[in-house]
Amino acid sequence: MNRSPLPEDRHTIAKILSKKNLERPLLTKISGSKPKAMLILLDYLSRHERQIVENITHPIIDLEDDLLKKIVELEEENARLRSQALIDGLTGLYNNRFFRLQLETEMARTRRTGLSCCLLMIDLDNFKMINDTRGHLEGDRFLAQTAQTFSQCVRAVDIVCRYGGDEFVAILPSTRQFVAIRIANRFKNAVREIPGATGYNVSASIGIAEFTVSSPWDENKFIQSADFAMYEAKSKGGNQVCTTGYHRKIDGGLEPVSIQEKDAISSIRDSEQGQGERDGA
Amino acid sequence: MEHKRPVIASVSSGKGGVGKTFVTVNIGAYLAHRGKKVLIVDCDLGLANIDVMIGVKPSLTLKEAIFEDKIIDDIAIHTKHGFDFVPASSGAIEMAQLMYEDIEKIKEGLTRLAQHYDTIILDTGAGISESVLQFNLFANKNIILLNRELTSLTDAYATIKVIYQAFGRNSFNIIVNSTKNEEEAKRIFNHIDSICKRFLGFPLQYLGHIVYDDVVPRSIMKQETLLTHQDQSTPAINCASIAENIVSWQ
Repeated sequence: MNRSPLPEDRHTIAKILSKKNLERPLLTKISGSKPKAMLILLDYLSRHERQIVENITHPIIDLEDDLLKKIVELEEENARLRSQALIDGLTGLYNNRFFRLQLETEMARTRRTGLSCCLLMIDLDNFKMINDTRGHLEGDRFLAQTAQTFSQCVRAVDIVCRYGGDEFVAILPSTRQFVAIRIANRFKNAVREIPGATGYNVSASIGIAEFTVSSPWDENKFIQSADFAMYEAKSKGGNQVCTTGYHRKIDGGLEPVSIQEKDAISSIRDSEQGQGERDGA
Repeated sequence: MEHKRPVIASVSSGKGGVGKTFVTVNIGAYLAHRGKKVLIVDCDLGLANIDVMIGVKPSLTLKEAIFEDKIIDDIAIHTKHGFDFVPASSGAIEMAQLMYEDIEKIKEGLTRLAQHYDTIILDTGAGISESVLQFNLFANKNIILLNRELTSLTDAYATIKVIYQAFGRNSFNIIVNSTKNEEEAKRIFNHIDSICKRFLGFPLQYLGHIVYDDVVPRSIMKQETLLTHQDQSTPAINCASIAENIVSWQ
């Protein structure tokens, strides 16, 4: 059950806010949980992570106070505008602006924790065919469906954004390249399952870049690297995953050891057995 | 005074029980015998056992370096085998789950210590955990150990492949342990070498082999190296020849 903040709560919150020099009051949902803890938690988040939390936590406070009511209304409107500024209207994914902010955060996290992060640059092959032959509405529908498909392919920590047009990006935190390849392949295969994809021969060209603690890259260089790999995937005929990066480039290696490699290794058993027979003869 | 950059060699196998610790200790002893200043570091952070193999009881271990801020220089101990040794602690859960920062701390300590030695050998743990990979990255020479078992071949290959993918390393030195004879060792090497060329696109380097002989378990039981136990046995000669190859890296 929701309750209005007790006067002393409101007082405490106000005090914290004034200490922090916040320009506007931070109003969060208070539903029997501990409002003070919530505020402290929010403090640990980065600026835009916090924005997201604020966007989704609706300020529902039972208010007798007219002024506070006005503030809440204003905050609701602000939240709506903020979400518009970060969410892509057509697909519901995060937009380019949010992507740039979050990429910065994840690179900082890598520098701090030492855990690599990966960036996937995804471009749809032959998408123009849908727009040209079936119209832009159909094209938009396909993009929205692609976005939904991609969202289902990622892990809870990954962030999928629409980069623009028929280009998407995914940030994979704490992820090594060989794991990123596996996720990229999920994307690649999922695109082919979207209704209409095979008919228009729509597929995905995906470029992967890995940012390590020792990569001398800024955000632009990181994006360029993923771009570069994506163009390589395109130039090789599309519908594939390519990698680039500070590390030596690898192609294909999805699992640590594939079945073909295992078979090749196992083949020594036969030759060694033959050898044993010869030794015994 | 100008000091040559020391050889920092990691010894990994992927699979456990291939003989990493035995090989590390014996090569270390032969390198020391050749007049090299050798430091052996037990990097098997969760289940360390070099101390048991060479019969020392360390009072300080890497655990203290990480959690109590002891200087890694104080932890290194001199052994009767001629090499110095940095012990890890066995069975400490918190050591088995080290964070990247902790591993970096060990690496910093080792970098400082490295200037006093010609050769540093890192005995990494089994598996391909973050710490095993990080110590392989820290080393400037990667040694991969395998034996005649199929699972050991597969795990050695998996280790090579992961290190290659993660860090772009494409130079690995192979030791075939517990082999019947040199011909068998060469056959096993040629096999895994051809698989690396075919799937990863680079060849492997043959560092040597150690023939199986009863003197190996006997020396381990006595907590001695082959150098002091059976200097003229075939495995002893094999270890000496591997040490000779490592000397040529300098």
